[in-house]
Amino acid sequence: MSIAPNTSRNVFQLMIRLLFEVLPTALVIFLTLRFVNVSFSGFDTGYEKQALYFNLGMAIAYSLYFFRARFIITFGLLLLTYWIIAFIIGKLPGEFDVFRAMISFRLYATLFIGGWIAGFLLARIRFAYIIISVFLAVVTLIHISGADKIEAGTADGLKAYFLLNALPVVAYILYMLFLAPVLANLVVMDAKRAGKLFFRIILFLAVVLLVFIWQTGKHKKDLQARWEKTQQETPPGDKGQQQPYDEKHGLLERGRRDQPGQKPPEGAQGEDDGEGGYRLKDSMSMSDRMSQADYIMFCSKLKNYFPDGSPKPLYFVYHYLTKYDPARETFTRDTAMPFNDELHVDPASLPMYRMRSDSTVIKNSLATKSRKVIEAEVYMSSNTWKHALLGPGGTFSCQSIPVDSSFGKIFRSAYKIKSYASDLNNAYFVYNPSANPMIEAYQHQRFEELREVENYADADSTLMAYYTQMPTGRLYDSIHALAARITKDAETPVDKVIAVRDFFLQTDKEGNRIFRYTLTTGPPGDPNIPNASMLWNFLFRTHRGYCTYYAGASIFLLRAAGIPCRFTTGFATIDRSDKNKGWYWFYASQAHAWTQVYFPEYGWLDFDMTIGNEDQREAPQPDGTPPLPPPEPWIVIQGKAATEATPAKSLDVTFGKIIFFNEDYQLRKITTLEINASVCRVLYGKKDTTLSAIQPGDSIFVVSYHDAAKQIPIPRPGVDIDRQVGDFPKPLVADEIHIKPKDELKPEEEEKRKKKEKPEDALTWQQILLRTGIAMGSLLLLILLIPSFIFLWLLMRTGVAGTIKKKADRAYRFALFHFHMAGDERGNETPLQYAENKIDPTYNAGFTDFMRRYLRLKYSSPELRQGDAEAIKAFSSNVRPAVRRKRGFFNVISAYFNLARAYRYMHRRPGETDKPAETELFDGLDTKPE
Amino acid sequence: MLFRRILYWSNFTVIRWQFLITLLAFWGAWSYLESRYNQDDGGFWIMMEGAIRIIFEAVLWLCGFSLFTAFIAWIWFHFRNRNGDVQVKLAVGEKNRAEAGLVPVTIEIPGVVRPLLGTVRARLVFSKMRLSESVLLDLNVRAHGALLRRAIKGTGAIEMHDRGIYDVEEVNIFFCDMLRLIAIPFTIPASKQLFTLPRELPPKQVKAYPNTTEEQKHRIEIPKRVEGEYLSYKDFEGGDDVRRVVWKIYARTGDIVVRIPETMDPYASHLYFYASFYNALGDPDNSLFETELLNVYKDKVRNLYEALQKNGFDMRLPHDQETPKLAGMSDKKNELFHIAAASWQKTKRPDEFIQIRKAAFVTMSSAVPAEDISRLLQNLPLHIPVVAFRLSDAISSPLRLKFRHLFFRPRRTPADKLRRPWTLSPLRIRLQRNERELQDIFKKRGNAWLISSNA
Repeated sequence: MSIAPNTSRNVFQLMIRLLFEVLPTALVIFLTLRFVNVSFSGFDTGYEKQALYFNLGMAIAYSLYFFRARFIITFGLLLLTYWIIAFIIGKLPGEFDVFRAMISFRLYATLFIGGWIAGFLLARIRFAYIIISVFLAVVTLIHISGADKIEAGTADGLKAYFLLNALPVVAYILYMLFLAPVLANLVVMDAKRAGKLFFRIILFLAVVLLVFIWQTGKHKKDLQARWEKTQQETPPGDKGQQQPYDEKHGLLERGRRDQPGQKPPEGAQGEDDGEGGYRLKDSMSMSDRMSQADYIMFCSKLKNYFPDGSPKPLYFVYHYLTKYDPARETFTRDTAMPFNDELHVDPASLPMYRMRSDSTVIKNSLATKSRKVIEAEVYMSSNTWKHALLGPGGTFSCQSIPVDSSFGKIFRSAYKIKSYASDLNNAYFVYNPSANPMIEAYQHQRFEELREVENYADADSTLMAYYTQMPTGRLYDSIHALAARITKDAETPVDKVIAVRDFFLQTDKEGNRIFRYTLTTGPPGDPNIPNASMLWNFLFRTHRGYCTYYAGASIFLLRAAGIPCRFTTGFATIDRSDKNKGWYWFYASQAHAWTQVYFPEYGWLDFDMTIGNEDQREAPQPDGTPPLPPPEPWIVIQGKAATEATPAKSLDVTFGKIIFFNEDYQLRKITTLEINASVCRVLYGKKDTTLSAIQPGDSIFVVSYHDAAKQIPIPRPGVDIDRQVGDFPKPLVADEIHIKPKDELKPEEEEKRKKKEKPEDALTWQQILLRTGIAMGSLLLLILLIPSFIFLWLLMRTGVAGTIKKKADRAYRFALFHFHMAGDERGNETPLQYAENKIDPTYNAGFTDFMRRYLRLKYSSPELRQGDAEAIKAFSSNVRPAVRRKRGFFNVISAYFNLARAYRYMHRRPGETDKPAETELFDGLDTKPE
Repeated sequence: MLFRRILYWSNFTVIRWQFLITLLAFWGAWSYLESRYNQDDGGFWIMMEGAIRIIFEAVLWLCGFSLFTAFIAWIWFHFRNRNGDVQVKLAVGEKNRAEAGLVPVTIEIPGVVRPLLGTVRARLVFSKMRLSESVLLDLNVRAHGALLRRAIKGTGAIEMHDRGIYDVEEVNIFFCDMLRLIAIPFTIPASKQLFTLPRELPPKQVKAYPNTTEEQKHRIEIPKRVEGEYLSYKDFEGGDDVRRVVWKIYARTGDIVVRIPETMDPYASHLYFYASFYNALGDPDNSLFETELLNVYKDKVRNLYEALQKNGFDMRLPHDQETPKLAGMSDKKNELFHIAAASWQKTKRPDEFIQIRKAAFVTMSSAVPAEDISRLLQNLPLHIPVVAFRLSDAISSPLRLKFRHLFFRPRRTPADKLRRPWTLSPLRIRLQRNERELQDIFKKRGNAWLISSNA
């Protein structure tokens, strides 16, 4: 019987491997993609779907290659299929649809092909699982390590965070190391073996879990200390300048370190966690009053103008609150909203000049008409939460830029953004009504263009279902009825929007507006109305409210009329300055909520239904002087100083990363470049310093501005970046050098920390390596000492033997071992032959005489004869001196470290026993009485 | 041999590839993270370094624990086996019969404690330091009703491609830790012979009739000629017709013999199947090609033998060589074993080996020179079928590919590596030349076939 191909058995083998090998890999891939999605908004198309495609590719490839499919052929077919589908999509009609379809196809196809390769590696390449699992671990580690992603700052919270996030992938590495040899190709699994393996896996994972819980627990204080250190590196907001502000009733709240796109924890509202700065709330409810404040939040240079050159302001969006809680009358964020077109980038985490872009924002804007890319620079004051990304709707790119030192007191950070903005969007709709004929004409032009959208028949059904959903109940039935009444004469969607606007603008007989803007709406409190609520109160009774009311009410009216819309938060833009055209200043009182309405092909457009508030139109204080825009850098080098600055003010920098004309590049090899720092500014953190402050090994940024005087190489498409770097002018003239501040703690803080931390929590890498080295060395020494321990054991047993016969027996064993270790190994000889032919001629230790006595005592006559005891005692004490005399003390000692020799002594082949052979027995008998 | 020697001793390196590659991968990951992120914002690196430290220490503890348990298990077995009385049990296939190829081999070793969550593996060391694949000993052997196991065993597929006898000289046991970072070896000497049979091929129908009458058992269609003591003469006896005395012989030798008439016996009992392993064209001792040709030829002989058996006659398979006796095998004839154990020989030509009077079916390889076959056929009655197997195509051409093999690789066998060199082998050319001559001889004779070995 030989093992013949058997289809059903092979399928069973495959199923076992899919279960034990591919499924855990798929789970870890799923988790990894989740991290990647959170960190890179460019991937944000739903990690479940991405994982599905990747894992599908992996499972199919694994199955195929398990059955010995040829890689070149099958992979070639796969690429051909990819190319054909891409070609067909490229030929489809509809430019933007094709673009979208192509982007989706490329993303999912790339994931599928990636999964395919992973499946191939797992099925075919020995040890590939090590590379795959370590790669996944690295990706996970990178994505969980950012301090901004870690919400919990307590020791237990950090422990839980690491257990939840790092353990799965590390457990996966260990699991694969454990499993793969068991599932080696030639091991045929059956149900019984699979059951046992499953049990072993559970046990193994339990051991891994226990070790990790123990280790994480042991290190939790170290983690906490590290976390606190990261917090101290972040300069706190300028709390002293904050004005009293009632967060409970305002649109703003203190910023917390939560993850972008994540809902803030319950009850966390208003907590000051040291982050400093205010941001718009992630949930907004209709309250009985609203608090406002007048401090500056940020200013922006918005490069958006009318054809005649006059500024065309845009509202600055913070978030879209697309989920509604009818019980609390609260709008909240929903990261699962379809066609998510928010850019998830934390500007504070972007290194200087680093840019993050996300093309899915453009795709998900669903807009093809009247769109253009506009740029803006945003300067954040220390009153503003530094992690907030603010920009016109459709912001798809963000780049960190420096703030001129002379404005450092007002603005603590800045970034440049690009938005895919609509030409039909601007701040002039309701909030800044007419007065300007050009704006009125513009508004009419806008409405006329939007009237081309007659209905939503061609709109995406998911989008329509999501953005037109409404709660049920009497209140909403009333809103439905109201909406039907308001929009009964309106035919097109934009007419319905205008009808809703007009509803809020309607006046009474005296010409007074029915709806009024107020910050104090008062409680709903009419006990006679059973469904009394803020919304009901606003729409049907008091008609008084602030922006949240208008935005909320208009959303329900529009949705009731079948128009998709969403609640948007951000800042209303007010153009107050004639001096600095395009510069806008935003104060806390400009925090705002409004409505965005979706029009097919035009995408989301701002419609602000809020009735004008005369108080708010005027700036709380006049706009200031705008900050100087930073010079455009052509290169930013991130590296380490290789040398100190020379008297000629030049130094060498070693680097692997550059930003070249705003594009990030990772060099394939570490490069060293000479820098001419004769005219540059040197900063340590945010403070100016001198060139001599740079020490070799310091992490530095070298910035060189775009300057006509310099001979600047322009990026050459298709040319290797390392080659382009090689062509840079030498030395490279630097304009700024930023030295990364070293971790320095104040003496009293350090004292405090020393008291707080236990010694074992402060292990350094060197200590860990030292301890590991000691442990390994001890283990090695222990192993090396095994023969010596055996020697001591045998010697001790010989010494404490109670009777002469026992002593003879033990001395015999001791002598055999000692002579063997001295280098005289016994081959196939009997012990007596060994004593006669090998030992006594060499050592003259009386071993032969001893053997004859020993054999007689053991096998023939148990009675001791005269001289036996003395001879045995003499021999047992003579063995060591005899060997020492012959071999030398140090040789004897060193021989005991010969593990191989000791192994050979222990490892006797059958027949090579210590027992004397039968023939020897008779040879050894001395029957003559002495 | 040097390569085998290196392979053999590499078994004892203790540290496995998995350990080295894992170490390399971790080091690579660390270097990458350190070089990429240690220059970035401190906050990121501080947390990452903390996480790496936790992972590093946890993995270190696990590895230490894992290695410790493997070491303890090794020490334990060492002491159990210090007298060298541990007996390894080996079993091949079903009831110790296995066909060549990937053969399931069961290894049972008493007194072994597995490392915690680790494994114990075993490898057979055949003669000339040939190593088998490793077998995972993952099953427990318990006496009936006992709670504790008395031994562990496992069955694994071992490549035993050559048809014949395998001498097991050692069994190497490896105590592997749970993460398979190390494998601590232990060698148990063994002295056991395993054998594999030629492979079974798709059944064929071959007709043949016995040509000897040891018992009057079967009546045959064409009575066979029965002759006297000296072929067609016998010693003169009383009662013989003096006219039949051959005086020419008497004149030459002085013996009085009489010519005897040929008689026809309508009965026969045993079908003598002569399979010659004569090979005069190659160097049977030292060639990978010869070994593979022998494997293929054995398969063919086995197939032919079993096809002839289906005719229902008692079979006799005379041997042209002494085959080794296998310890434990009963004297009861085991013709398949003899086919398996045979090897190419150069001493007994087919015309010397085949007894014309008994032969009912004759087979040989195309490695028998044409003149030897021609000499045999001169005396061999025409009704006795002769089959020669064409060895020149016994090893497939590398260009020979099935359509499905374009998409799915066939399972590789040790013979595959011979396919390319075989096309350029001088032996193949010699065989082809001989086969052309054989073809002519067989054509003239009739009732003789030159059959492809690759059919």
